[in-house]
Amino acid sequence: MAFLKLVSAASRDIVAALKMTPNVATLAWIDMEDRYRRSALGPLWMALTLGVTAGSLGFLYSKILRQPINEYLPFITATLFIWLFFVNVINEATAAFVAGGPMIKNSTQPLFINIMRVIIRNVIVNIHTLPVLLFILIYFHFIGKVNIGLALFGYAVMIINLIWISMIIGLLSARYRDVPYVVSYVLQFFMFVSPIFWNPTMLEKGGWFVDWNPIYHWIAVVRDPLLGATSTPASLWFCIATAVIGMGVAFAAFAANRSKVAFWV
Amino acid sequence: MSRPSNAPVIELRGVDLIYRVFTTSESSLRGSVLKALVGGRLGKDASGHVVVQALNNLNITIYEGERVALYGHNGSGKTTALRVAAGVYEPTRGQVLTRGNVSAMLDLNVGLSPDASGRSNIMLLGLHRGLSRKQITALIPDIEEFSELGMFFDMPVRTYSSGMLTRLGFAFATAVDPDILILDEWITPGDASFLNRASERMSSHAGNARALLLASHSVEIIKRVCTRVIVLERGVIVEDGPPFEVFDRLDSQK
Repeated sequence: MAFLKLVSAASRDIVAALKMTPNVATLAWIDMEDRYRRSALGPLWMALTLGVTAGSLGFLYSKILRQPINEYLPFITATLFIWLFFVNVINEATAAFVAGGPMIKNSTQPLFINIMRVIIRNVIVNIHTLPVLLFILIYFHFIGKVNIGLALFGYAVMIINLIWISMIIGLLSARYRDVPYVVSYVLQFFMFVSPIFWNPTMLEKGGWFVDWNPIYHWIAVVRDPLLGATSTPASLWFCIATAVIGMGVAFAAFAANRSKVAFWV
Repeated sequence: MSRPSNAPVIELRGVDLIYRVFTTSESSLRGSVLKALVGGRLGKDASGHVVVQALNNLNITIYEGERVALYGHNGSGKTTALRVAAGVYEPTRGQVLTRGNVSAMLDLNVGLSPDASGRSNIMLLGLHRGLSRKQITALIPDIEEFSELGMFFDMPVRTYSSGMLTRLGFAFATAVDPDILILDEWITPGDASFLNRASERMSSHAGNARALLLASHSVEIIKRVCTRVIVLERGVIVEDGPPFEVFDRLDSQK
């Protein structure tokens, strides 16, 4: 009985939050405006970040890795386009409940809103960087090869994965204040060991740490169709499986701890 | 005390609220907090964590038409009881039953953006409550008029005096046409007349049950505004009745 009560309370919370989606989107938009208030370039900074990082890394690494620039630069731009979104969501998820603390302690707002706000805010940021990606894809004649349907599907699956990751990281970070530091360290570690700056096809042996690297698959299912390649079915199934299992685990964690969060933040 | 045949709008039944306190140095604090006199009852749970029993078997029934104040020292459980009644905290044991829309204004500053105007902040508060833009826009003329902010309604909220902020908060909390209005301690004696108008405004809306529940440690406000006061001490009710009687009893005990 107690179990059913927790599950129904958690479901009600999530449904109520989803019903508030337009409100959360507006609030996420206002977050963005606040962040860039009084800055001359405003949200253009985000596009600039992607452009400058991808451009400089692209030129440098195409030399180091001896890759043709007209293939490597689109590759690195597409990767960073996704990676920056991925990293920002997870880093901001550590503060999802903590930053929403005053609201959580003083209003009856559904808790799940705080997760939605992080995701939606970063999707808005991500869309602002899209022109840079499009420019590179057009300039290097990749645009005709883009598989839009598969890329969007991959993006959706990645967002579902990010939702459960954010729920778990948000809860853990609210309860254990060391978690945000661990998370930022782990992300940095994965940036170096994952095929972010290099393509797994450059790897001749030792591919196991690519095959078993969840971050590689989550990113690959969006990146590959953007570059005109098709992700392996293994990657797709892996992402779908983690989405389903992860959601189950995150929902259980959310149900078990939902009423305690107000005392943690 | 007259208990008209009015229906109960909020019922707290045997509510306990126990929560764990997280500190960076829990162990070093344990000894000292156990002796401390502030707050609810501190103790340890089975696994040795420091816990606070903020509410202890609280039974409160609030009937429609009542204006109830929770009164007590700092840490007596006033705000916690409000948060439980509003549905912010879930009780550890016991039940909370509410009949009608609850509009809780617990902390005036939460959700406000200091650089934005009063008008924009009403939009923000409404969005946080789950109202649509359209619904909020429809409420704004009423809020603008009732808050009596004049041209300040379009000025940044950081330029507001505390009284002006209070009026903005009131105007919003009552504009959503609540059945039950819950306010925490942000009311100052200077706001008492405004609060009276606000609760009149609530009861003037035709129809449903109306009740006001607030926390305060100002005897003056309670006497001027409320029909009933509940005195809490360490999460337990020690007095309950009409303000003038209760405060006379408290005075005579001193």
